[in-house]
Amino acid sequence: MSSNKIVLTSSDGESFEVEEVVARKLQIVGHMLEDDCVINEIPLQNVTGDILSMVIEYCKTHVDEEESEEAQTKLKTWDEEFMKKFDIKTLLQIILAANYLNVKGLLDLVSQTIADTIKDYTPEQIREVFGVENDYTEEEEAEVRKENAWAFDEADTPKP
Amino acid sequence: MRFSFRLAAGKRERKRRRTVVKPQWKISIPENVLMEILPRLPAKSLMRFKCVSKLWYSLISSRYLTNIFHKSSSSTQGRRLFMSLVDKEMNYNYALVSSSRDSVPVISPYDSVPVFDLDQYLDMRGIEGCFVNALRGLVCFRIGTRVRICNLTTRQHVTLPILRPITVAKPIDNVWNYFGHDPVHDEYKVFSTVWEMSEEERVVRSEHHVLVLGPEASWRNTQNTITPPPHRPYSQGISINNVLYYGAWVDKNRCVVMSFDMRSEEFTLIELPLEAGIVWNTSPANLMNYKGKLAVFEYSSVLNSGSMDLWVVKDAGKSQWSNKKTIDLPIFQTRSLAMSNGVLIHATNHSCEIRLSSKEINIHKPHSVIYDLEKNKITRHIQVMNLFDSFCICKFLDVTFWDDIESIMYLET
Repeated sequence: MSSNKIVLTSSDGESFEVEEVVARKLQIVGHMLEDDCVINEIPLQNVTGDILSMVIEYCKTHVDEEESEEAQTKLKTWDEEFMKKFDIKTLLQIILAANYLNVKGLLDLVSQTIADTIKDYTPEQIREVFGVENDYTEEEEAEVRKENAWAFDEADTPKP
Repeated sequence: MRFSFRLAAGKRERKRRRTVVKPQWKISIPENVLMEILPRLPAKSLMRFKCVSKLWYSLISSRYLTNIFHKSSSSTQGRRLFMSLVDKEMNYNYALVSSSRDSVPVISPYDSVPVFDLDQYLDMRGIEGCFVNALRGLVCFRIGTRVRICNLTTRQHVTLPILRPITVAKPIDNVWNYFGHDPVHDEYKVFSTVWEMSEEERVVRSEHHVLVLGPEASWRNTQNTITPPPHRPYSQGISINNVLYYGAWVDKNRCVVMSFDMRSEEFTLIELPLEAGIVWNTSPANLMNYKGKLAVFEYSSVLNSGSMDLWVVKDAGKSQWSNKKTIDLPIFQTRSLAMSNGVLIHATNHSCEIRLSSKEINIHKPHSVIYDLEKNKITRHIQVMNLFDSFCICKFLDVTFWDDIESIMYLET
């Protein structure tokens, strides 16, 4: 295993020194390293220090993914515990970072966690959390609501 | 009066909130990231989130998301079982039942086969008429001469325009349909045949049309290069590798299989194996998918011998069939079948799979057995508990069984 260290710098100037194998888990870094092998400090414009530290924590844990079932189960449990730490807003920041830094495993994990978290949200809660402006007129919104009225019911089981 | 005032005040308040209060939390999630999250949501959440904004509406309604959702639900969800029951004499006497979404079947103590209870009545607006077939989460019905497509997950339905044949007169009763999907162009096609009979009970002419689902869809003639002989379909339609097969009556007492390629829209006439002696309206016979190939089976001696005869097509264009295969069926292992006065056999929507059921209607326990010809065993028992009393007096119950996954397909009109 290479012991070469790489420094990753966040948009707010925080620096993290990590082993090259960990940094390569961020595909964006992997591509930079392929282009020019001598880089040892990489600025990452679109991610803040607190989010980057979490991404790095994920990458460190997943650095050597073993095939054995035992190792896989252990990793899965770790993933679940890791995700429990975050509220929805942090999860959204992590997904943006995972997308920008191109960490496939983390992107899948966070997408699923977000989906599980928001599945019972109301449209209002979605707008608030995802920062979406409601561009419907009241009439239009009422129409869409009517079209999908069943999706607003509490119970889903049709009566016998 | 007071109520309407309160409503108005509420409206005003909401408006103010929308414009004045600015959210402190700011984030912008690009579409590609949203597309990572959305397919992992249940259909119900997605339908609710159509209300979020116009962008969310169009992303959720897109064919792209529909297809990702279809793929991911095929791999993660269990398939839901469905049964449609229609009183043949009174089409309006109709029920659509299914297994519950996350049903865990009971294992039968007699033969260790899972027993599925279809105990969910789908009481949905728009479901009525004659059941045509189901496909990728959508169900096709015919009401009179009009065809309706329903999405059983989102409960949306569309009624297709009226088909106006040119040469065939009065097609009211003489209509046959099939609902198919062309995976290459990702097109959903409704196939329609109308025919006219002479007084001597001969098919004198038939017309064939298709409609591709989509905005402003309309019927058009099939684009075949060779005109098929006038015919009337006379069996359930089955689709194998994008080709539709159906038993048909070409002339008086002349029974064949017709195939219709859902992509090229060419017809092929396939003569039935002579030794099978199949007459569609009298023989207990049907079509099925046997290891990816078309097969016909005949089961007139099923209650005596416990077996049926099957022929597999070798070359459809040359009407070449395999030698007769005699297949033993689990008639005598199943009490309700062994005791019955008649057995009905239908193909399911899977290869090598058939459904056996008793001919007479037991309103308290309509029961079917799903049998796998390849594995040579019963794979499922299907039960419908407590059927509507309205089926009590029914003499001819038309039952169709299928299993399917959820779809979020938005039906455009």
